[in-house]
Amino acid sequence: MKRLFQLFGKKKPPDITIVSGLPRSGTSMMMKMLEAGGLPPLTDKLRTADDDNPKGYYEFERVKKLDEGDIAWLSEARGKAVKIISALLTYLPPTYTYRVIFMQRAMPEILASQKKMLIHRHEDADDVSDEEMAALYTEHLRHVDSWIDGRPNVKRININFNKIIKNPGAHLETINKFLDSCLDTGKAEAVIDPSLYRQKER
Amino acid sequence: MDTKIKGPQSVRESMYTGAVYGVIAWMVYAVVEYFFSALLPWIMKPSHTYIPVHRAFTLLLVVIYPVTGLILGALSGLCLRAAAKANLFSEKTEASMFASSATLTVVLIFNVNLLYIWLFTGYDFRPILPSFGISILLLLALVFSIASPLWYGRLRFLSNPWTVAIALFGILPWVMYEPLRNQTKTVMALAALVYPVVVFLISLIFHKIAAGRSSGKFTVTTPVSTARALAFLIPVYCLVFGAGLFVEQTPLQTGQKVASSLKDPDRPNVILITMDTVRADHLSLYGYERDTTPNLRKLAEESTLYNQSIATSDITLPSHASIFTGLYARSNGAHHFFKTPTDEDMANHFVNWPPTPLPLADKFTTLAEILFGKGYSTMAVVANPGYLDYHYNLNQGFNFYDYRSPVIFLGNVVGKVNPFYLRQTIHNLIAWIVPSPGRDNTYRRAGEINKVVFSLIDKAKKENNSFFMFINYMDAHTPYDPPAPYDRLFPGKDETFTEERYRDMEKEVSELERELTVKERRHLVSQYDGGIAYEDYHIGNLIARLKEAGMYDNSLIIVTSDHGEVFGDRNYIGHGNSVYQGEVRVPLVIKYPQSSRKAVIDEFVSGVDLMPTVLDVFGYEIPGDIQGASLLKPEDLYKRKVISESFPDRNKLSFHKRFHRIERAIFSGSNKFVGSTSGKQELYDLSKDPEEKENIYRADDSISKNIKAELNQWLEDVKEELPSQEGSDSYKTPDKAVLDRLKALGYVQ
Repeated sequence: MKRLFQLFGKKKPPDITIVSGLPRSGTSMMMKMLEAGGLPPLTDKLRTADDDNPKGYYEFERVKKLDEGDIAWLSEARGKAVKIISALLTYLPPTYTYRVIFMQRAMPEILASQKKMLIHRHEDADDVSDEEMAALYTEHLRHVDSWIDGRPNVKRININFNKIIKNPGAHLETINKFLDSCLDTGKAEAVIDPSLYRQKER
Repeated sequence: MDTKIKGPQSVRESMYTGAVYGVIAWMVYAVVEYFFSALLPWIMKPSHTYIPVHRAFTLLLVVIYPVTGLILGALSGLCLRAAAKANLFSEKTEASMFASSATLTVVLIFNVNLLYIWLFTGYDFRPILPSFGISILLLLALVFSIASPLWYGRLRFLSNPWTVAIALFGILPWVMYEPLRNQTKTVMALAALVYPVVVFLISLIFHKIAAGRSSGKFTVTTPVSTARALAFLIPVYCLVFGAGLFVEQTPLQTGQKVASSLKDPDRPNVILITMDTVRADHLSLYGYERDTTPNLRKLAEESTLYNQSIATSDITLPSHASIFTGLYARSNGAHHFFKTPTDEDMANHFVNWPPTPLPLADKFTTLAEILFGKGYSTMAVVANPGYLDYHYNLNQGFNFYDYRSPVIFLGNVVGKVNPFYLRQTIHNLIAWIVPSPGRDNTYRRAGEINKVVFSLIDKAKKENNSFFMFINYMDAHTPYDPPAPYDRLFPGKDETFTEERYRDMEKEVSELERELTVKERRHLVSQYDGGIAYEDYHIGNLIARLKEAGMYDNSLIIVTSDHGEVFGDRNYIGHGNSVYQGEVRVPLVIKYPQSSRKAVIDEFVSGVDLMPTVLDVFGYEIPGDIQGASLLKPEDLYKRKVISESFPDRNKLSFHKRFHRIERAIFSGSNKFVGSTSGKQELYDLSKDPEEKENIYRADDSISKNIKAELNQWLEDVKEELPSQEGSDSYKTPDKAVLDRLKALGYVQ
């Protein structure tokens, strides 16, 4: 009988929850909160925790191949949370429905945190000036905003990293409402570690 | 198996028996054909892509098939008797032979139709080969079973018309392709092989069981057994054909609902109307001597009238794509593929070229997508069943997109036709005997479009949300067939003018064999103008309805066209020929919300300006990549350069070498420069020469040099969207520095 209902029922498949934003905007923290709150993450744990992300990256390697057309894994992501940085969002096909939690953070903090991470990875941290990078990121985010706005299959909520650290309860309520109350907000809030907020804007 | 039942002896008995079997065989064929050709597509395809059979034609088929069976069955009975008299059979004629010969008539006609398609229609025969192979085998089997009772005993299961019809239809190209569309050719070939074997096996088992129960004595030659056979068949016949009367095409609906938090009934509604194929100078709104547009004149009294609105292209698809994306055809890519044809291309009728323009790629952000994202209900009701079909992807962002084409009775069927169905041959035959101009319309008339529009207005009012509605009327398009009284509103109608004549005339004039005659031109223009007047009448009705609903004042209403139409000017016919004024100067009236007075703008404006204008009216951000500009800043318009482009289709390319080019026009100040990839260079001062009669281009003249350089600069600056670049545009790919940074951070590969 269950099979019959599966065949003929009109139950909508669950949306894919996406945590997005620029790198170092708080996406890993949000993933951890969602996991603690009861929303399973789609992650392969290939990228392990380090000094920059002591609680783990919550990444799924195949996400990085979205721009090559690797979208077969998206069916696995239904009903789960997956981290996709903003640069790859626009490669999502229109055949699924997505709820995007878009992390925002003060640009100087993002740039400072990225610089620190680049140094840890022995990469050139000064190849592009902060001003130039900020302008490029701003332009990029505008394109992404426009892309999201124009996609009827994408619902989006913006979460400010700086604000959620200061007042997690209210923001988690908003997120929970956005996700159709699937989270245990108490558990989600418990994993926020303000000590990891290390690149405060001065 | 006992097959020795005494058969009919007299002519009358032979004809009667043959006729009874014939009626049954052809009714069975009709049921199976109708199921495979009309009901199965409805089950398998999305209902918005399904094109039903006209109800009247369905009812005709209900009669035609049994009558065909009656005649062919009776004839086969006569033939059997004659063959028996000539001692061609080893045994005397039996009822079994009549059953086989009736089924034989079905297979024979099916085969003749396939051969006809192969030899006379130019249809690619390869996909039909499996069906043809099976039908030849069946033909042989049936001949054997007629000739010998012994073989009849062995092959009786093949004389069953159900078996024959199901085996023949199940491997026809459409039926095979739909369930196996993602499979390899090997899998398809295997399926084509396995399918009839399975059908024959099931039939064999069924007949073994039936023969065991009836000791092989079942026959329909007695009144009782005839009644019994028909008692089963007639309800099935009625059920299948009856179902066909109720399956319909439905509008495309995404099912996406506007988030309740984004709903706002107080924002102005946006109503965008495109009058397909309407050139500006045939509107009394622009001073045309015939009063074709009294309602638009009235609307313009409270609106802004743009005197020099230029379509971005000379055909529907790229022009609408520009309206929706703010990008010229070169950048939106939704236009005909072009390369200079070779002699080989000409000789083989461009078979290796894409048959249609490229659809608008998903990556482009459309006005509907942006407005839907802002909480607008987005709806479209369109008459053009060609380039506004969902295939071309202009429906992006619309959560309701009604592009249904009317169901054709006997006229040309729009969309794919499967000629191997006998019903299509019957259709063609009747249409040939009874020409159908005026009876069938290949697009929905403005009155039908408005019916849907009005119901959507009522619905939107109940839903209490602002909406964006796109409406497309097509009544001025070929075949120039306005309904009465609009067909006689303006003098010149030639009752003898047919579509075939139009096609011949288009070819002859385009190939420079002759010019359009005065009589032909008078007829075409009278019907074209009548079509515009008919659309105007319905635009008037729409305005009245909006006023009645209290939506008029607070709505942003845009009336424009996608391109114009020409009637022999420069030996061009229709549209899709060139960028001369007749094909690219289009009407544009914008009634801004709360507007109550007339304003007139004389500067050049373009279809690409409509998207940014709508966004600007609401204060929404205008995407930076678009090529249009907001018309809310008329002071900036004088410095605008406006572009129009013409990409010829295969039909035009086949007419004459003069079409073997992409043609572009740039409008700057009062000047217009026309250039082409084949070297055309023409300059017109439209303020003095609006009909482009005198080419004032001079290679050493500074105005000529500057405007030509401007077009060349535009070609360098504007990114060309090529099919191979799909998915690699700047919308998706961030700046290189951003990508390098993301790679260094380990977030992308």
